Amino acid sequence: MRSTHSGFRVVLVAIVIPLVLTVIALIVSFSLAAALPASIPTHWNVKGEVVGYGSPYTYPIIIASVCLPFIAIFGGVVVLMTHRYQLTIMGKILAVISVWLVVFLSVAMIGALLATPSITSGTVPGFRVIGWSLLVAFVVAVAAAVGAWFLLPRAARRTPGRAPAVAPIVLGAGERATWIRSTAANPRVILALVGILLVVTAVCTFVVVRSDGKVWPIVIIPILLICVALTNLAWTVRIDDTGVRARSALGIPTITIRLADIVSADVLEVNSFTEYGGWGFRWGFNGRMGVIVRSGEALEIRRRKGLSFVITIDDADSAAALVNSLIARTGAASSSSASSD
Amino acid sequence: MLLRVDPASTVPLFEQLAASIRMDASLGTLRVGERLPAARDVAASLDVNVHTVLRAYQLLREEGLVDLRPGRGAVVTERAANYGELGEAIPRLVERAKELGVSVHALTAMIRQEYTS
Repeated sequence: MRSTHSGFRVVLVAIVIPLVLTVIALIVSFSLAAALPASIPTHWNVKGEVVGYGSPYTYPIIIASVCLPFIAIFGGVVVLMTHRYQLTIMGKILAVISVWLVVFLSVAMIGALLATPSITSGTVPGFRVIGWSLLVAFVVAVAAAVGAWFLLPRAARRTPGRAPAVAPIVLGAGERATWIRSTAANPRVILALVGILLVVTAVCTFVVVRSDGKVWPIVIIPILLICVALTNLAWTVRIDDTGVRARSALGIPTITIRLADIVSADVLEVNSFTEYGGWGFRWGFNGRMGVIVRSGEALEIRRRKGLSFVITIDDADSAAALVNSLIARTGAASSSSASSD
Repeated sequence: MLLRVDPASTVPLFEQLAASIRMDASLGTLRVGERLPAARDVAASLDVNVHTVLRAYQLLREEGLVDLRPGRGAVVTERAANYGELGEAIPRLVERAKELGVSVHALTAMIRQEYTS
């Protein structure tokens, strides 16, 4: 009962309200545009002189061509993820961004159209009016976004981690143990990224060749993309008696958590998109941060201070079990040495 | 993968390491095509010599559990799946041997006998 009710509210905020607002904005801007001359000033330079003219219908066309796809994609994603999974904070952020954009664009465009008669008659400098209408649009849009946030149902509570589902690892006092494993994005994701990279490289090469090498610095774009992918999507996790270390394929960044700073480790099921909004080094808005290279099994390191560290990796049960055993052993060693003193 | 060594044990370190990796294969946590961690990393974590780790990898290569390729490291072969199958039978066998009071020496001797006959 509750879920259908909250599902309705998600559809209302993510789809219905932005769509209704867009339709109203389209009707208003079309009727305003119809009353204006066929050519109105649309661009100003820094001195406030008019440098460009255009059709007043440009404004409603901008509203339609930006808002409608945005609502379809953002709203669609939020509704779908709520229906199939749950409403997360990430989902609420997406829905609110969509509302913000629709309101901002509509108010700004209508403001520009409303100001046009006084601009063309020369009573006020156009750039100033446009500046004010952008500011008003920004404030109104922020208010609408805040309203949308509270109209949306509460985000689902974060999924708790579970204890590792393997037998505890019993370590002798002098025994040394380590757990090392690599984790990487799905082959399909990697394939898609390689495809994008090839297209980007081809485009950059083409541009550099056509410009006779004048714009050669743009070769930095594919190089940067490769670095971003390598620093985000392939990691190696190492656990030993010094603690937990997660290192990206490039070696930077490396996250090191000392054993003494760890409360315990557990195992999580992670949904990369709905909880973390994608892949890579991520902030979860749920008391967790981490390295998310795919959905599914993940190791959670609960720290004494600060956010939990999460990394998506196979066989997280063994990893968590070893962390817990290592903590238990140091605890036992320190308490026995304390009692012998 | 979980690797453990006990320096106090009489079993050589490289044998212990190899046994650890075999265990991972039999538990199914080591999959075909997976790469074993870099010997350097293992050596650092376990505070053993790199050559000890390499010797363990060499032993597993002779067994056919991994392929050693220059530049690619130690890659787990199809044989890992076979180890996984035995991973279910061996605990049962050992459990039964314990119940019947058959020592580890006797059991390994019997297994060796079965191989040579």
